[in-house]
Amino acid sequence: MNDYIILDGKRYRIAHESWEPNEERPMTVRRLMSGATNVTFGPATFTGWSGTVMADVSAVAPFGTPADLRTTYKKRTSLSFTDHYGTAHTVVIDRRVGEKSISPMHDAPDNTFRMNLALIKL
Amino acid sequence: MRTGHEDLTDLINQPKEVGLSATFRKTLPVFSRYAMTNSIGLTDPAWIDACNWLTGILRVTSVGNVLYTQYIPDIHAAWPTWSNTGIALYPGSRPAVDAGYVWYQMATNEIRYRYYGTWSSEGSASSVPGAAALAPIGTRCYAIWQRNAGAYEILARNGQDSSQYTIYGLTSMPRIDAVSFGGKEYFYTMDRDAARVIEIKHAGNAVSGADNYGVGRSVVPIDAIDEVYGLKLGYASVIDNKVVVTGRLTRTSDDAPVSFDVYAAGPENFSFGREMFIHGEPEVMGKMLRVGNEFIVSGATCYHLAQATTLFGGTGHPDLQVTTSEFSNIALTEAESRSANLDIDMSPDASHPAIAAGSEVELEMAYNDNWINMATCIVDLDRSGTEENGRARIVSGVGKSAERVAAWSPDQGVYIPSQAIMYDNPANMTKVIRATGKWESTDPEDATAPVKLNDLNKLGVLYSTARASRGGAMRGKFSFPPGTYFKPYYGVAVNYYRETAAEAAGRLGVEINDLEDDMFGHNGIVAIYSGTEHAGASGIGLYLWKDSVMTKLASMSLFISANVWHWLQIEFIEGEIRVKYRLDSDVLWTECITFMYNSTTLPWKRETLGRGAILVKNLVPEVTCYPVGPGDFTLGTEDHSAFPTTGTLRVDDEQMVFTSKSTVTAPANWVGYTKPPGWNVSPRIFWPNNNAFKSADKAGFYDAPKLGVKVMATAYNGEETDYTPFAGFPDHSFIGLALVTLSGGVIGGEMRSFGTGGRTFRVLDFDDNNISAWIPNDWQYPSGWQQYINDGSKGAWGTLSAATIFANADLHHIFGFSENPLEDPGPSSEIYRGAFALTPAFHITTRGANGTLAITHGVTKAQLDPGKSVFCSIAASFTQEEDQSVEDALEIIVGMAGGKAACKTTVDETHVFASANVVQYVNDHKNLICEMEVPPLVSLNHAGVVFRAPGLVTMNGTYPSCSTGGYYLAVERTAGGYYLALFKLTSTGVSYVERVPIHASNTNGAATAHVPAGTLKVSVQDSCFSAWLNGRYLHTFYHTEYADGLRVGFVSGQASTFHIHLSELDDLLADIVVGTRGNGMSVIGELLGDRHILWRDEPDGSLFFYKTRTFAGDLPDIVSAVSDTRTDAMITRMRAEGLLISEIYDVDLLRDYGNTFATVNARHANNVSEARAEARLLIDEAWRNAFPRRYIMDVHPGLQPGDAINFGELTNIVRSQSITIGFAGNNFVCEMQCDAIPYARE
Repeated sequence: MNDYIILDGKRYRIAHESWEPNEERPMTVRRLMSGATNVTFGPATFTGWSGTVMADVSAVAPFGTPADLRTTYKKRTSLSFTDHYGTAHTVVIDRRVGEKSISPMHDAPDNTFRMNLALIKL
Repeated sequence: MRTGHEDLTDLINQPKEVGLSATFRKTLPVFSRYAMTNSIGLTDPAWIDACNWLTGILRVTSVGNVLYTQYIPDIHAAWPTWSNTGIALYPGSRPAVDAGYVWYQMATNEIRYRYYGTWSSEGSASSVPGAAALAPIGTRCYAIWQRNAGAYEILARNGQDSSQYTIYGLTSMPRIDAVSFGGKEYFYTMDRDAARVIEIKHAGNAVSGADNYGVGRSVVPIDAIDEVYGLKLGYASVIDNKVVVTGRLTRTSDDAPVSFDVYAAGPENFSFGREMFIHGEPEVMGKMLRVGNEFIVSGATCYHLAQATTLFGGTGHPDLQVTTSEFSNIALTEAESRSANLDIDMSPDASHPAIAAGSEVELEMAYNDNWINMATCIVDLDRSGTEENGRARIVSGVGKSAERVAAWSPDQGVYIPSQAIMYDNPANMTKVIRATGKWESTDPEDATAPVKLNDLNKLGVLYSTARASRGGAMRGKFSFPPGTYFKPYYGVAVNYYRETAAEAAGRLGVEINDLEDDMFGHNGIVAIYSGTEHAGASGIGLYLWKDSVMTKLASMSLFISANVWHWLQIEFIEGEIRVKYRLDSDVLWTECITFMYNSTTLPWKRETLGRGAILVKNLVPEVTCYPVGPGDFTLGTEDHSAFPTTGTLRVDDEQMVFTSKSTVTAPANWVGYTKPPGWNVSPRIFWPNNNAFKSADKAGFYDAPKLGVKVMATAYNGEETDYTPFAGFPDHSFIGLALVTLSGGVIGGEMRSFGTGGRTFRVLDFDDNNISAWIPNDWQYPSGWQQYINDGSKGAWGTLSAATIFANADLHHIFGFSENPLEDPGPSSEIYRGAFALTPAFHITTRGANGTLAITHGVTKAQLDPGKSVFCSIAASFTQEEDQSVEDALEIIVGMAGGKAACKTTVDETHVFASANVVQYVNDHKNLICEMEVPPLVSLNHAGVVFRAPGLVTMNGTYPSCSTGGYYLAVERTAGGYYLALFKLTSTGVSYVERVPIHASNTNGAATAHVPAGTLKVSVQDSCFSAWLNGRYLHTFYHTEYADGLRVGFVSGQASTFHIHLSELDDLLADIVVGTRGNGMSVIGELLGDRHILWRDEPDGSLFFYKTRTFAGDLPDIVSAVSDTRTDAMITRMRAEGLLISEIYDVDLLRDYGNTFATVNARHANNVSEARAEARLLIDEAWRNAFPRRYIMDVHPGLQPGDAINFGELTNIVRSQSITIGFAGNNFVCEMQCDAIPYARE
């Protein structure tokens, strides 16, 4: 059990209150003319994670900095990801990443960036 | 409904998991060449037969007339050398192998075999007395050999054969191969030196006489006289679920010829679409086999390998296919009469080579892991793109067969005709053509009156205008009048061809403009009945007719009475000639002559131009007669002893009644001198005499100048003293003979040519040489000499020294003399002699009898009994081609394109008849085509088809019955004989209409009696009901009593099990034509258009054709939305125009919607009721289309376009549907949109 995740080889801590491993089970719920409900499940379950990843400006390896995270995000390839349980996955980062700086001084050594992202398991 | 949907449908109202997968396959085998060497000097192409054996292939060949074998256990390793078996073969024979059995013809001509696994033991079969190419099927063997110079023959060699198949016109031994497939055997060989591969279906396996050959049918369309397109046979084999025929395709043009090795998959309907290429050079023509997951075609110096595909129905090589769900969604759109479209939102990363344009994609879906095949398409588009959201790839497919058909444009026109029929009174000259002779109806006011030939002793020929063929039957209904002197001579011909003017002129060496009607050559195979056909007695003679010369092939004794209507029929089916006879009052045909054509002359003058013909010659006594004027009442002839003493003659177009004829012998005429045209002998040269005569015993001539002619019979040599011809003839000889004069004559020493004209007189008396004649003193022949007769001062009576003939006319002037009393009316150089002859004579009492005109005649023929003729009331020709139904046509066209087609059937099953019974169906159109397998029959039993029964057919004993009529066409057995019979249905059973033996006698001397087996195809077209066995024409019945009927059924008079088939698309197609300018889909569109046939894609990629929709039950509760639309597109009145026209209106619609009128083409309707039904159908369909409904619902995996299904309140027909499964963005969709129309009219 780790208190961090590993994304693209860098460790990051997450905002635990927002971090959400999720399982999506596609299905169609059809409300019928008769009043009955018709349900069809999709053939697969999709796994992902979403939430806030914390990156300290002055992070020391093996932890990643905001710049590392930005580099990772800009990659258009699959990424390695290890969850809190130490289980390795292959993921991509979903389309949009939002980053927020805690300090108005973005480059302050004690500043931390909160990056909202979603990981999609491949 | 899709087959096997039930498990899924049961889950449809439960929460269920949907599954979806797509399997992509490469279907095109791609051959690669591998070279090899052989130590026995073989070169390609070689006769090397092969079969699968253990882990590899076993091959056999002949080298130096020694049998060699080669087993290749691993086709990828170095191939072992050929093994010399040491078995000497018959020179030129060809060994073969099948299923490990190696067959060969010994040098002694015996045919033997060894099983490769136990080589030491040897089996044997019947020999053939010549080199044979063998075609084994396991332990049974067929052979082809040259029976005679003109023909090769296929026959079974296991001792129980009863038939053979003959191929004409080849100059070298063709290749042959045989396969067993689907319970039948198929032979593949060639019937043209220029190369055309034909398939011959064979049923019964030649066991116990069940030895039934069909007729050769070109595997790929090559015209019989094509010089552009050739396909040489390699071999044939069964691979997976298909018969694969290999060969060498050659096409010529003004450029260099194109040639390559190819394959086609069959049987019966062969593909020749996208998949066909093996390789270019060298020409190998090896047999294709499947070894493991590869196809191999091997020759002498190389072999070709391809990874196996599913093309022949088996599994493909694993490398050539992939099953994947690497897609986000699919959209499958299907509709009636439109091809299915499949769009797959494919992962751009899916990189298997099978996922490519041209591949086959099979879409499957599942509910809770219960899978069903939804569609099989061909990928026609594979689109990849990059956009702001990344890469995307859409793979689109079109229904497999529809794509194949749409993409297929044949390199050779396809023409497959159905049977051509002509059945009519020959007086209807629109259906027969007069080749020669003067034909006329015996009663022009009566359309059914027989036709007769006015010519006597001259062959008259009528031939059918129906389409020509290389084989078929010609039938005629004849009668002839009695007569002592009239002899009927008549018959029927097939393969008839009257040569063209150019051909006749070339053959005869004359100018075309100089051709007379009777100079054109007649050709064909002819059966003639006459009183002298068989050993000089009555019988039927069979002849080859070539360039108007008949050569007798066989004859048989038969006596036919006068004034009895009867039928003659001749059949020519691939050399098998049968001549049959039936009294019109009898139902049973008798097979008179059975003959396998064996002449070195081809049985056709023009194979593609053979027609049926009627021949008649009215044989009467005939004699050459001599010139006669219109007022003459004596007709001089040659020997007329064959004539009666009274009767009527025809001379040219004039008829003459004679009441007596000369009885004395005419003096011999001279020979050796110039003959007048038409004369067989030279005439005599006589002195005409204008003298006065005295002859006490010639009362009536005495002193009767100008009535006598002094006869000085003289050989023309300038002398006039030869009395020899009359020497010895006493007084009064020659009375009653004809004295025939001729125009022209002799002057001086020169013979003038004689004209054809002249007159004929009767000899009243003859004086042998003692008549007194008045001889004037004045030899200058003063005029008026007659007044001085008996005046001694002017002359004296003298005795003539020449015989004198007295005629019934003044011949003096007739010969152009003046009033001179004596002969020699001028200088010796101008001696003038009359020319005439004494001949037998008819004594005419009436000239211009029977409405004819008395005219002058030259040398011509006098014929007795001019009013007598053979009568022919029916001329019927039937070509051998098997009728093709719409179903057949669709299967052929789609099959050739590389697709597969099926049609909705009324019944298609192997039916178990536990006892005598009938299984029947409502089929309300009068014409139909159906099929059944002929079961083994016990004696006095039968099986067949009932049709046009207005009411329910029941069984009465072993026979069907129907109180309101109908027909039963059956194969029946009586002891060892088999018959094809047509019955009428009655309330108590059946009554025979006609009965014809099936293959009553063998043609090749086989000892085993023939037993019919295989597929019986029955085609009911108007009044003609034809039957074929395995594609070989059997017979056509004609009957008119029941023109309509509601029921059709299959009958067995005994417990038996056999396959029966009746398609919904059972209409006749006159011919199947596909040109080279269009594509297959346009042909099918034209075929379907006016017939109102619908189609859809089936899950396996085949096309399914139908006319009526099938009720598929209730739809589960899966509809989430429905929308109704009302349109005004009604048709309230309709006129269906075809051969017959029907106009109807719908009273309710007309009242509610007003007058909306439409005319439609109903050219395929056979009668008014069918035209009316067509109009009714279209009005109803227009009404349905005016009330479209759209349903949004869960995916029903079974539903297909064309299904009629109960949506709860309404039953609807699904016209089109669209299924979407997968993700639209992040949303998962599993939805079906269904566009429907009402099923039933409100």
